[in-house]
Amino acid sequence: MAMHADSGIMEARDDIMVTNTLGVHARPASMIVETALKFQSNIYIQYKGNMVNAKSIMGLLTLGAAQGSQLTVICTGPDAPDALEALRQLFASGFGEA
Amino acid sequence: MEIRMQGLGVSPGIAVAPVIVHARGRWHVPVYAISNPEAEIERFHLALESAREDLLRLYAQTTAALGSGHAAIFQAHLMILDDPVFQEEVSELVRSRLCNVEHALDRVSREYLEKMGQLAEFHLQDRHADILDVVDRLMERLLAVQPRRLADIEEPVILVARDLSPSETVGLNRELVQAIVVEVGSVTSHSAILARALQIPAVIGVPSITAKVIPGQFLVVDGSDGTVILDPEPNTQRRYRQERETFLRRQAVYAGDTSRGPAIMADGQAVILQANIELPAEVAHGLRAGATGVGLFRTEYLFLGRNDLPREQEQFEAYLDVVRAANGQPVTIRTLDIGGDKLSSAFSAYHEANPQLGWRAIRYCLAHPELFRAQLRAILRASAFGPVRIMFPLVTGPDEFRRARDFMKQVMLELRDENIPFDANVPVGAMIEVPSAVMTADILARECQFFSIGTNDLIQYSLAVDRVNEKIAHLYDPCHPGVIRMIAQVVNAANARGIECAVCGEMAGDPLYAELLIGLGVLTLSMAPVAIPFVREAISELDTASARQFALQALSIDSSEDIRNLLAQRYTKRTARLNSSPVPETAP
Repeated sequence: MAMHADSGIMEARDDIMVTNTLGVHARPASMIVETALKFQSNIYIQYKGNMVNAKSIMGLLTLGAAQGSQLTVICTGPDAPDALEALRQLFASGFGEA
Repeated sequence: MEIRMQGLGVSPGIAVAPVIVHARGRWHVPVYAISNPEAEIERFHLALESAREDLLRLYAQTTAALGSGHAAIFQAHLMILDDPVFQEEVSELVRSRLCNVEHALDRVSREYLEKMGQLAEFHLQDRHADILDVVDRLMERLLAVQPRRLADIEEPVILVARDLSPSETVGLNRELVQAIVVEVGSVTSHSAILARALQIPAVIGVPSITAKVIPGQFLVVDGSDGTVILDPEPNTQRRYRQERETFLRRQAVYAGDTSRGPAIMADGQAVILQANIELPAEVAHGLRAGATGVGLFRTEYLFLGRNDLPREQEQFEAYLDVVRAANGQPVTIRTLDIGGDKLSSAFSAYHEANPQLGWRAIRYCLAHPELFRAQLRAILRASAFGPVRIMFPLVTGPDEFRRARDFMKQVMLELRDENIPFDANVPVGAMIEVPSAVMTADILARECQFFSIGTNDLIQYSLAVDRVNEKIAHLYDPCHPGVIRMIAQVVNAANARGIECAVCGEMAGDPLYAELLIGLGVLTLSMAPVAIPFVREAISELDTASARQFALQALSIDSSEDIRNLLAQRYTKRTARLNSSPVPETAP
């Protein structure tokens, strides 16, 4: 994780693995938006040269990240570390799939 | 000349009316240059605001009518509408190209849909349809075109469509849409479930009907038996109009009927009437119709039309809704009764040549312990809040029943270890719908706390008839001597062990068969809520001794036709008297 305070703006980023069987399909995409909207920070998810805003359901639906994909999550803003942690937990939970 | 077509009746009721054909159309989107982009973007924001109000209203209406599960689709639409990146991209295109906002909206949404289309393995078809729905909603406002929404139908019509989305179905005007006929779908599809919940007569599975009908043409639809008649002859029209009048008049009378509790026969014998339901919201329909509890809660709706499995908590909340709504009356919850072919392809790109004889129901559940465990845990947790019974579908014999019950016992131990409350004495029973279960009913009766005969499947399996196949549908015959003997054998096996034997198939909801079933010893009938008052009335005319005698007679007759004639004769004699008695005028 990289974190630095630069003129009051924090950035937190880390690589996160997609662990659930079905990958980032419709329901995980909605859950990511719901989580991201709780934070002020800008949150981006980078995958295979594609960068989407985690608050955009349309963007997430075009991400196409299957199980085992490595994503980079980049949070910028006053609550960046918390946002990153929340997303990390969401991915680790496998989005509640059995 | 009139043309008859046969579909599957999934929501009872009769309609005779002109047709409208519903086809999803795309817009002709104009392109023109603009000089004031900010004014153009303001138009966009007004459209967004107005669409949002609409969606919030639909969400509230649907939640109230059908529960939050069915309303979730509008939450998904709101999330699309409120997508900040999407909105900004449309606005940015207006600014950079100085083009009208409709064109920008069209271009941006197309790009997303194309990208999603390349991700076939993610099964985003539903979201694809949702995005189109939201874009349509915005276009309607921007282009100031008359919304072509089905909710705006102005005359009584029969709606014919390839399929209807949930948002289209719940938006229907129930006063004007007299019936629905769709080409695709199954009894458990969304449009079927919603039509039943909304009490709109519906027939599904009528291939290419949208191509066969001309808008404005007359149609007869019978949602009970799946008949659809194109260009009905004057005589046919008259007959169905009469049937419709009778149905509606009696329904209106029954709506004011406050009969509750068991149906009482002329000699005082009580017969328990329960409701078959698909959705928690239907418990209220059942109770209003006078049901004593829920005899069959089909849980399939929780599993259909989605990309994932419902989690234990979600299931628990649904079962709890039903238990609470039943208000202390018993609720029989049937475990999952579909198979790999019906669950989303996200789980299994699994197809079977013969799903009816395939990997489904209890077989599927026993092969998927995690799925089965989550459902049983959810049901057991709900059993702490009111009387619940658990029923396993498609049981073929004692070993299979024991395996399912032992699995449930193990789940009970897990709950006990976790200190989660449940009813340790929850009754467990088998749905009797396979001939081998009939032949082993005496053994099963030692293991089960109740039986419920699913006559639809029992008839199909024992007569080897797929009733959806129009070439042989007429061979589906509840009066077949083989069927009557099987019902008798199951009831006798249950009575010998003192356990309840209910009937929950369509036979239970048809007043015609009440005397036969009761005569065979069945004292619990579970049916669609709409049928309850009719069956209650038929039962009030019956007498235990003569029903017994009639059943014995029926068991000795050697021809289906003779049995059916006798049944109909006795029934007509009784109803002739009922129908001649004056029906009080009631406001609709």
